Amino acid sequence: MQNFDVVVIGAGPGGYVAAIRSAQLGFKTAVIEREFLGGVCLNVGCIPSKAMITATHLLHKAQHNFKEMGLNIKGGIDVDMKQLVKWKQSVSDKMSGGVNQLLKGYGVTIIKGDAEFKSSKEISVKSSAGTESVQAKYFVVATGSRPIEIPGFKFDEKDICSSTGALAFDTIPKRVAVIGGGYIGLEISSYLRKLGTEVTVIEAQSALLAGVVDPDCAQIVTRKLTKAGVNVLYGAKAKGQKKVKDGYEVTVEINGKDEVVKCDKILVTVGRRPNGDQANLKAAGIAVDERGFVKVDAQRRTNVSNIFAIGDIAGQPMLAHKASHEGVLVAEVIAGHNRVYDAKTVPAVVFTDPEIAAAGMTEAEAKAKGHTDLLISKFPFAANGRAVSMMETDGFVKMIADKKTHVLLGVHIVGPEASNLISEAVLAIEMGARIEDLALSIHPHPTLGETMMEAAEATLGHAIHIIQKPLKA
Amino acid sequence: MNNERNSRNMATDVKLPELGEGVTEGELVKWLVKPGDAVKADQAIAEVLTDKATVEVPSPVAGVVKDLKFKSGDVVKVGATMITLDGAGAAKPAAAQPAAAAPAPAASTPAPAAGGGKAQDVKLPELGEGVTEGELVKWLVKPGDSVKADQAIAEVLTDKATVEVPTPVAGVVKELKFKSGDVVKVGSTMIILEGAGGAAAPKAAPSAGPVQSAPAHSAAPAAKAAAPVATASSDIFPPVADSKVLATPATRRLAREMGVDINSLTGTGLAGRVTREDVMSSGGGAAPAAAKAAPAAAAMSIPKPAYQGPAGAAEERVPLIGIRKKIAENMQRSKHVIPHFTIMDEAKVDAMVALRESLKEHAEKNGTKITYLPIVMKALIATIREFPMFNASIDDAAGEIVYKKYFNLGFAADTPNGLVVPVIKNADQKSILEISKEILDLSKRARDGKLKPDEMKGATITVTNIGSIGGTYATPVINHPEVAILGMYKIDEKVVLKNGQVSAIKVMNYTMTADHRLIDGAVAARFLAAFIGRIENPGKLLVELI
Repeated sequence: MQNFDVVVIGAGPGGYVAAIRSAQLGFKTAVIEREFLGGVCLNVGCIPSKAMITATHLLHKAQHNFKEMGLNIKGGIDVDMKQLVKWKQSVSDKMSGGVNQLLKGYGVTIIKGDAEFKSSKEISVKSSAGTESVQAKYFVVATGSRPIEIPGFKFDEKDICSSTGALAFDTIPKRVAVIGGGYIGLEISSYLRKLGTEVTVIEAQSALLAGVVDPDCAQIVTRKLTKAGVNVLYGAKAKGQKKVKDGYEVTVEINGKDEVVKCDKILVTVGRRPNGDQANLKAAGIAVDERGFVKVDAQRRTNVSNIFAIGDIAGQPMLAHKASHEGVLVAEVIAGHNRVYDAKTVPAVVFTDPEIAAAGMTEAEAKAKGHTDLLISKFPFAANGRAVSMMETDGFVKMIADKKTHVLLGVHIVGPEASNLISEAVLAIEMGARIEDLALSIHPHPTLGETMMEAAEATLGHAIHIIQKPLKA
Repeated sequence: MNNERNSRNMATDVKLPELGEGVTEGELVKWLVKPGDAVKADQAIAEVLTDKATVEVPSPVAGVVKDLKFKSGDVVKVGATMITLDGAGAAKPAAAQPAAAAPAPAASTPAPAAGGGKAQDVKLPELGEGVTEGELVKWLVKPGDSVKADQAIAEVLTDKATVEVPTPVAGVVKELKFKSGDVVKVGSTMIILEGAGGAAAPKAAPSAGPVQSAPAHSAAPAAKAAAPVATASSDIFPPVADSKVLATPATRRLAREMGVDINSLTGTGLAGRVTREDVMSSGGGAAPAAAKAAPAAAAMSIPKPAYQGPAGAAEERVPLIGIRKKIAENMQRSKHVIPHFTIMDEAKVDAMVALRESLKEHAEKNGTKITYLPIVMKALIATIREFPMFNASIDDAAGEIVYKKYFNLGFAADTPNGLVVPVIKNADQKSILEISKEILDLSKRARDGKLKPDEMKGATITVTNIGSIGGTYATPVINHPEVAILGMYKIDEKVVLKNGQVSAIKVMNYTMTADHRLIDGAVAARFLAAFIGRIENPGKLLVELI
């Protein structure tokens, strides 16, 4: 029997952060993990996918931009897929190892195994070494989510895969059918296509990334994907698959008619579901809603007063950075600080080509929140010197501000390094900045960041590097 | 868990431990030991430079250095053996984990030892720094219940938080010593357990640190903060900021820490931003009763500018502590929260001086002496009846003005330790003689530092009499949450022309400092005029006497 002040269940980007912050605050802390430190994010999600995206992005540049830049590669470029996957794995391992060192450095006890609540004060941890009992005054449930499986497509992670399997392909698949045109499906589609794979995206809605990002942004990515040769089937429903001699045949229903998509691998990325059915939450009396999310309040406390929940299990958006923010929050709440979750915005990033990033409200959300009059502008990367010199001019920065107060409400970026540029928007929105604040801050030249300044100027009607008609008063 | 003990008595390799995230190697800067040296566990043996910092590498075990495996300038990989120690036996569990390793200092539990079956008192443990008592909110057990070790037996409300009190031992509850609402001192017996002692097993286990509400795991770096104090509350107060409120994240957090509902503030910043200053000047609301937190929890964030004198200057530094610190905090809070303004006037006091002269003998017969202060207090009370807002408070959190129907008059007393303000409770119901006696008693005990805390609490308005020492006028600081302070100054003679005749009259200066949020200038002027009317004609007081 071990006793702790705080026990965190799950060592993903929410859990390990909660554990470290708890230890920093002087609590005797343990973190329980059944699979790998860093969770999905570091091991089979964010980090490894970014490794693959970076590599294929370079490949693509070499193939398409080098010649024009006067860089000639003699003899072509081979992709050593085994080495690529090995390198990708080394990135994950390095990051996961870093988490291990941090946890140890802070004196956090790492317990490997499957956790199950016995009561609100006790859990049992099952591992190959046996079962042990762990007690704590406070528990933090950070058990995350898992890919949703659809009927007829049971994951084997070799041919019928979730993102986990897709990230582990050690040969370049010839034909892949991607079921679901959300951000995970499109990130993987983007880089598979660059490796030469024939990709067919099967999307139930009439647009990609529908309801996920600003439609203008989605359009740029859709166009580029299509141009790159990704085949997209809209209004399409994957009904089943069968193994045939040379791969798989996926039956897809479009407009009431069945069609067949031939492929070698099937990737199912229709979303993720919270692991509310795991860890025997019921034994502790923790309330879980019908979708599997643990119900929490603004302090991320569950209905059981000594148990908190963070990250994917605690509700949308299911994003690593939101989980980490909550991890710090709950540790400080446990320490008696007066804290609540009151972030104005959780940025979202899609690592497609080009990248999409957003913070704050969309146009529709702003209107729904009572901002009837809006200033909306777009500044294209094509008008930015740095983007031109990078040969990455697809996309724009779109800004939405309140017309009366000029307060910045939302920023939507599609283009090179959108993921890095969005942080400025997050800060501006959290600080309650006006668009003048962005326009009047001197941005370094020549950088992609200048597009933020110019987009802000564009909302005021006077961006320098595009021709704007004077705005009507 | 994995408490591998290197209990070998032979040579031991000391390896380069993990040095930080992503650090795989380091350059050996210098050795801090040489062959033949005896080293203790945790003693630094070498300095190693990583790409982040120079770190000292400790030896996890004691022993005698046999050989050094590298020389300065060598790059050493994490995990590589750096030195070999002979006779390493006093082994400590793996390095880099001091917290987990330190043998738990004897449990702060009243050692259950082998005493199975005996009755045992369960006392209220220490609840946090500076907390000496708590109010029993409710029992979580009842007589006859069997309890396990570490099971919560009661909820206790301290001025910081509601905490659950665990029992360190198992047993059957024989008796509850308090009832809900009682104030329980730290260390008092709360319940008596029968058959206690048996089940305190976890305490005895060598590796598991005893977990009790007291911060027992002293090895943790910030042990002071170790007692978890989160309390459950169904309602979050203040409510979470609505997205319409413009304020920076840091300002939003400040508001929360001060217990101010930022949604209720009007921003004075650009585009209606709620600024840090807006939050500071809102006064820091107390949490509503539902939130259970004591009002004191809404701490004022007081700026802490540094002072650096010229080098070599003759200066002496003493800690700002005790009463002086308290005064400093109170004054600062008052000035932060209350927009002060002061109005001043002069009263002709011949009649009051004559009155006091005439009463001297009577007072002495009654074993006291009459000063001007009790007469001034009576005049003040009579004037407040006309202008009740001078006896009010502002409840910023609730957004309400609180008019008080009772008259508790504070008076500023000069003591060797600094200013204190004793309070004459219900002064309106006491005679001038009674008030005089009380003033003498309270002043003496104030000088001797023997006032009880509640004798300095609960004033509704304050009178300050610094003028008896010197000065013509002052601008006293209001004692928050009061809204006014009356200043009285020394009596002087003054030459006046009256009907062409030069004559001497006695005058006394008065000031009224008021909270401008509640009291307008004209109102204060009328108040002071009405007050001075009574001072100049003490007969009015007699007429108004209830």
